[in-house]
Amino acid sequence: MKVFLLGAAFGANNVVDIDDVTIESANKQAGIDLRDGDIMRSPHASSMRSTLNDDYYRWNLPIPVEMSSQMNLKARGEYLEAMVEYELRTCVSFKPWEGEDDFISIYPLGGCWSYVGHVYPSQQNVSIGNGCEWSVTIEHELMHALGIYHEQSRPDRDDYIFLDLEQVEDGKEHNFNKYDLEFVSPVDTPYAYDSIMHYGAYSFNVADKPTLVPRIEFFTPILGQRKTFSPLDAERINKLYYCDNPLRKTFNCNFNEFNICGFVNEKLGVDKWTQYDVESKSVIGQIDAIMPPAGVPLIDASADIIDSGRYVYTQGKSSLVSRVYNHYASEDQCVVMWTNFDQGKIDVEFWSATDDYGELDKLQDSFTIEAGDKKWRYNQYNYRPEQSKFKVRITYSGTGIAAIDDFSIQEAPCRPHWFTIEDVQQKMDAAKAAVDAAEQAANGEEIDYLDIAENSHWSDVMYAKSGHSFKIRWVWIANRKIYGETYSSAYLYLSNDSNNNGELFWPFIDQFFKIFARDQNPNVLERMDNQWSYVSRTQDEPAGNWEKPVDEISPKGYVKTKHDTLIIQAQVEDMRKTDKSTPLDGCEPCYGSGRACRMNQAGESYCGCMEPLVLDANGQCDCA
Amino acid sequence: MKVFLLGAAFGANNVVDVDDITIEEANERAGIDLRDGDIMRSAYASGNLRSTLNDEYYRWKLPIPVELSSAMNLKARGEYLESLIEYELRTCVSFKPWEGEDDFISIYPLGGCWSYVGHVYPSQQNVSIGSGCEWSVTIEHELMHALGIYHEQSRPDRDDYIFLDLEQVQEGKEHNFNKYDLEYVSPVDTPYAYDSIMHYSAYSFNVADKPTLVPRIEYFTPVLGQRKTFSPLDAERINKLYYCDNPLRKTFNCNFNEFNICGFVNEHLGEDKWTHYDVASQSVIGQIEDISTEDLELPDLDASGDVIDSGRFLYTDGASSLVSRVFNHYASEDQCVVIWSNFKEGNLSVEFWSATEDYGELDQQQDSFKIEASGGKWRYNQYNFKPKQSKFKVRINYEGKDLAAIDDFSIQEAPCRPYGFVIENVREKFDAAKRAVEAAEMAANGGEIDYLEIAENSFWSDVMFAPTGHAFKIRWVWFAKQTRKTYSSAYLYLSNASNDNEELFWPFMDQFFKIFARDQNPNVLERMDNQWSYVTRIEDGNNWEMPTGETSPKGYGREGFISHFDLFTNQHGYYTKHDTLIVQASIEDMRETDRSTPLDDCEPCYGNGRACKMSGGKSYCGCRDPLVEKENGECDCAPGYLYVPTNPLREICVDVCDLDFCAAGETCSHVDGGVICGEQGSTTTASTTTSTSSAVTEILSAAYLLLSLII
Ligand SMILES: [Zn+2]
Ligand SMILES: [Zn+2]
Repeated sequence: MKVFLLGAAFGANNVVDIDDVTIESANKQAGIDLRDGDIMRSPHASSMRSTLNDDYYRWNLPIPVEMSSQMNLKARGEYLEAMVEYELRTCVSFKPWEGEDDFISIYPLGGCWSYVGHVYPSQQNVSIGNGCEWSVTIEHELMHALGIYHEQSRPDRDDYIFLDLEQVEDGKEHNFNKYDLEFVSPVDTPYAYDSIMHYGAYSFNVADKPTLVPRIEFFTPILGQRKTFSPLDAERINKLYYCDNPLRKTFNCNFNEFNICGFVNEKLGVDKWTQYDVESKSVIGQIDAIMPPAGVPLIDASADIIDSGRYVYTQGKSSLVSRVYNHYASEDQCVVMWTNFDQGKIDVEFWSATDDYGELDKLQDSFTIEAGDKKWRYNQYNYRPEQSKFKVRITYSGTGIAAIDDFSIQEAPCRPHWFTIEDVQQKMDAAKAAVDAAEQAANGEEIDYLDIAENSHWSDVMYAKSGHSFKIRWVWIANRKIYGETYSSAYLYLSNDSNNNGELFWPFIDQFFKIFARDQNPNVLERMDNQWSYVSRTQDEPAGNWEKPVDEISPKGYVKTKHDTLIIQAQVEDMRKTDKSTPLDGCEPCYGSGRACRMNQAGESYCGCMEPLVLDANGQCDCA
Repeated sequence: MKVFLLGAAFGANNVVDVDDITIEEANERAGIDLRDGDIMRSAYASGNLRSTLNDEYYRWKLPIPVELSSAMNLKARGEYLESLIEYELRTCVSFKPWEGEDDFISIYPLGGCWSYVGHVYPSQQNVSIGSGCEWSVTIEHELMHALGIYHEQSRPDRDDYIFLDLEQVQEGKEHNFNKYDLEYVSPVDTPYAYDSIMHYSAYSFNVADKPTLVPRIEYFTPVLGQRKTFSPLDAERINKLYYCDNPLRKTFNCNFNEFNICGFVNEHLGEDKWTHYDVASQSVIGQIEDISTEDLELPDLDASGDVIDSGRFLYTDGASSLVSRVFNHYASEDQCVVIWSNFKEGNLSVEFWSATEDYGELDQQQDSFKIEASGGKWRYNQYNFKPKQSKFKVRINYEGKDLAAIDDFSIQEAPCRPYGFVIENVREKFDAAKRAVEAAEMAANGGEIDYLEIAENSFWSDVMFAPTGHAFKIRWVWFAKQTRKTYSSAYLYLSNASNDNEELFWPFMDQFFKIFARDQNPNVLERMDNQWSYVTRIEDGNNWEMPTGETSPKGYGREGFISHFDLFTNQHGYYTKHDTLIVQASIEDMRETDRSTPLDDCEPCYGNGRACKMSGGKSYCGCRDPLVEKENGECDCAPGYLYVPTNPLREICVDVCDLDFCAAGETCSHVDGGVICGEQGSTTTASTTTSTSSAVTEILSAAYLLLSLII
């Protein structure tokens, strides 16, 4: 019996659940059973060689990468997301292949796999097959190509996790091999339980018990995380590739240091931005003791995230000026700032500078933050500088107290759509109470949690670049539990608000959309956003879902909150016109011993011989 | 009127104050007045300073060969070693003795403290560490210049961060406050570093007692010109300039704030195990199930105390051991291991084991040290471990039935400072001293008093024994004399506790001793210990003879050893964390110091283009690269190369074949004594030239002049 509760807004089946697919299950579906899950070995090389001890197996940067025209839209969208992550956290960069001697080609060759390190001359393949089209999977496979093994293959892994062989499927034990340092190198970093190179606790298990049990219990649900690089993943890549400045594309200020990251007050005097320390409840950065005015925030924007709790405030009109930023890697600079004020407004202005270390010159862009209530609030702005060098001026206009914290600029576009859910704990508790009540009323019968009004939170209407309107539905308690873990859900629905716009195309297909729960850690190297994506397709059920509204989509996810506030972000990319052409097309078909896609001086690609082989008289590739 | 207070242990003059000397003061005494304080410019390069950021040309290859002149005194040598440790631990820049490498740095006491900026001289480049410059921070500063780093207040954007009050600057000293373009000065994309050792102090070159430099963030006024050691931004700048990808390779540092507890694991799981605790939330972390700690009397803060961090530590309730990963340390024979502990009962031991392999298990125990119970307070412990091999594991073992907590574990590839003592309840002792001083001032009724005579104002260490067996004590004075009463002082006295040791030598001469107030920041990159040093000398009179009283007649130390701002307020340094002050000391017997150097064989080596060179392991006074010695004994460009004085020194000789010397279509080739021009494709031989090298050079010089005029 299905129970419909009073006030239930929707029927039971108004969502489609598209689950994230792990590498393990994608390969299982593709019928791929490799010795180490997704690590392909070259039939030529008789021995695996170390990456740490051997620069020989590392790539020259940037690494040319070419995607086969068979790669679907979702893989392309997620590949770009993976590139942004590599760009922001590491020194490893990728570029389109333009005929360089060595390159990586990505094909959907069945399953997700890669070789470890740079082993093939000329062309080296990575497979991103069906079910592998997730940024974290692409990041994982490219990490293999960079020369990094699975974390649980470390020779010292038994110090950190118990492998319960009784729980491993028969014949799958080879997935849990350990390797010598000759092959596996942790590059002198501690065991990374939260690495994207680590299997999940339940990998290759027979029943519902874990195969891998971490010695620090906390890591059980973290093993196999599929968000993005953990800090240790980034550190390892950067060490392996001798990166001396991995954060060059990020400016990050939590206002914890006394030099407040190089910001200065434009004018000194009574009203000025003043540094406040939450723990000691005192003004700092002054020699004389100053009593902070009543009404300064009691916590900083970083809240319970590990850091010292400091911010800057001003009482009355005042401006803070930054140094000159030299940002050049992206046309889009995502500027984020947390604010806390209930009167007046804050303007964030972008100025050109007179010279590299010069003064404010011309105002080029700005955005205004209106007063809210006395709570820390997230603000973002996508700034497109006219030149690589710019200064920022933050001005409060008002007569109250304004506080700012956790200012950052990342050389990547902001996610264009977002909304926040406040009072998370209260809403979660209300949802739980309603769900419990419904369960009780159902008296053991199956119920659909989606039918419970309190269990959903709907965003306001948002508009994609194409003009189509949509909403995101947040569901506190998902119907499904996985290994006892409970989840919240997020779904995207087209809304009918844009139906009167006659210029819109329908159906809304080939649209790549991605939903994020933002990790509110102010430190970008530690930030791991939860994410999920989809490309709308003609064959989507129910038929007509992407026609003029209404309908939906869904992922799974668990989420970290800060300030009792959840930040959901989304992006929608129109991929109908995606150019899939590639120089690889000119090589097809290109199979056979020693064959590789090559490019001649005229920029034409052809199926040639892998270096150092040459084509002999009978058309075979052989040594010269 | 002098007032003698009851209980005063010592007379008024029983200390000798040897003050720290800033670079500014040392150069003033030496009569050195350079354009930028201590930046020397090459006489050759016509004022053309070149950038370091944009020009790798002016960076050194690592490691940099450095040779100390035999004229360098013992104190300079001792402090030089201290500065090398700081470079080693915080940066990738390393130094080595000169063994004949083409380019090297030589350090002489040439009068004052100065350096060139960047690698400008081929062959030999001088740094001067003269009288008054023998402080590790001064040597770090001059070597930073040599690495290519200017003064912080020379940054083109310095006016955004500090006001320069020109009215307060001495006449004729304004040039010390020049700003320079980025072409010369490069902050390597780091924020303005108020706390850099490359920054002048607030009162530099002032006329009266007002500051010349006023930071826009007031807090930095007493921080400007700090003379402890590299600030984090100094280290960052060096590491960026020299593309360092792993500056912390010689340090392992764990504050137990991350969930992976830095790779430590419990040896056995079960009831009793090391458990992760978060102070802010007052809860156990690292577990999925909630664990109540209500019944446990856990510390209410972590060992980092008020130092900015999250406040997490590990505890165990009963016997349990924690095992580290394999450390691979190779840079020093000595590994200084530090751990903070907090337990009332039982034994805590830290064991060092060899490992079966690189990522292997415990193999054989090689060394260990025991920590005694501390009565429920966080306590600092250090141990100088000398591993038998580069790879080792650490096992931390609690034996007892009660609670034990640990935090802030670190291993640094450097020797521990051998001596130390702890002053607990600092605030209480400081306040008592303050009351006693104020009472004495009141009693003196405006008369002069000596703060040293006030018993409550001094804290004496226990007796400690130098490596030579001599006994000494350190005296800590909360309030220095009236004029500097916002400082605390530290003095070293010989004690008579070793007088019955007949094997000791007297007087206690040529002993390098150094006193530190330890910055208790657990992060080595932010740690800035306060320090002072001295070398005992014959000129100090009979002070270092066998003590006849309880101590030597006078204590040697620094009256203004540390300011009360540093002691209590400065958060670039946590000297009184947990209300505890850690004073450390080292004593080095330098009587047998070998001062010989290959530089000796070059002396005297002055004059144009001269430099100390080495050939076959033997040094001699030769010509600086690329110059060669001519028949008349002068250093000049080789035949066929033109001397171009406006060029950087290392490119001062230009190949005339690169100067359109030969007509179009002619080939230009080098022969003995010069170059010759020939027909394209012809095989002219060297014998066809008749001109002498000087004649050729003259012709070429004329040709060059002509070229210059045309241009
Ligand atoms: Zn893999
Ligand atoms: Zn200087």
